[in-house]
Amino acid sequence: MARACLADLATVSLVPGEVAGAPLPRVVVDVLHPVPACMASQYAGWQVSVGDYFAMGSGPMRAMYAKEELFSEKVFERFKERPTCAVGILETSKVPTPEVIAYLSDRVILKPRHLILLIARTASLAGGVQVVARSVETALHKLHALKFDLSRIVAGFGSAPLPPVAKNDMAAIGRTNDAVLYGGQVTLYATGDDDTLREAAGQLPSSASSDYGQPFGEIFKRYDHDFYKIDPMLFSPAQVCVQNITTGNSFTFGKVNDDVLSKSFFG
Amino acid sequence: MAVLSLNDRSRLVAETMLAKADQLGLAVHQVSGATVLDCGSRVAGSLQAGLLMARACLADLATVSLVPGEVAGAPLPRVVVDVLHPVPACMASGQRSHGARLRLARGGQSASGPADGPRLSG
Repeated sequence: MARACLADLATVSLVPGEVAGAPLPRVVVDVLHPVPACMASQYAGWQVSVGDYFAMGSGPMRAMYAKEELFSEKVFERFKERPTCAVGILETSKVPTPEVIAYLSDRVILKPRHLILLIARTASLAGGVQVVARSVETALHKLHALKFDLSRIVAGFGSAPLPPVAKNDMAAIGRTNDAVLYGGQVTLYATGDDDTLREAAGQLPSSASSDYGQPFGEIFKRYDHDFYKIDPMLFSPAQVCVQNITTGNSFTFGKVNDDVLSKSFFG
Repeated sequence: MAVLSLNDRSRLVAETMLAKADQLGLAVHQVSGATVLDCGSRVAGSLQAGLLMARACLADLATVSLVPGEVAGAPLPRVVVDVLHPVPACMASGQRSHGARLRLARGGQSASGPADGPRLSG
């Protein structure tokens, strides 16, 4: 599911890991072309809202609809496409209704039989993996928010711990976010000068946000469950190592926060 | 069980690379009829191109993968090799340091891989 969400421009695997002494797999992503894979496809930028149906939409169908503001920017414009089939990933606990299918097929301008949707609720094994496979994507997205030129990023490698499946989707959203915010480690390979790279890298880890330090569920509660009141700079990996393949220099910022992970996963 | 030469095994990896050349960031050249896959000399290439290059170099007698690692507090991937038949894979094919070294007049390039290696019977 994560691979499909990345338009098969990455490998996604599980390796052994550990959080607070408990063996937990880590979700590893090795991204070939980070800008189209993470930004034009994997980023959950399409809120699919039809009647009382809601799902976070991601995957390459976004590059077909391409009405998100992001696709009006030059760096992403060239990834708009019109193939004969669309694939979307929906983070939801409900099977899409015929109305949802009509809404989506209208927007990708294809008949429903050419539309493939992969769905999973956050509180599921697959749903957890596909969210936690977003460690590199969150780094790219934050770099974009920092107005960094993403065409300088040539590859990305990241990992984050796979949390225990939570009892409900709200709790699972908290844990999967914490997995990346407090346990995600990302290595980015970039070109160009060191100064702008070092400056961006310093602001890249989640610890650079004023909302850093508590499990996501508590932060969410503090802001009256209003997602948009949370500092957008929080959504990034715990630790990043940005390597400049032009100069050979590396810049590492942030660190894994086992205390918050332990509280979130096992508290 | 069918016996594939070391070179045939590597050829299958190279064919996979050729089929995904764009995706892997490779450049393909035909030089006097020989196929040259540039994985990182004049092109950016990719980590996955490197993994496949290593697998081809080991005559596909190993898996090569990246796992998360750390050096001095910095997250750095580790390259993992799990070798099935170390003697043919590493010594008759993958060895880079001694026997298969190819020195050209104007450079210090080294060559490795299964060329002229023995057949593996399995």
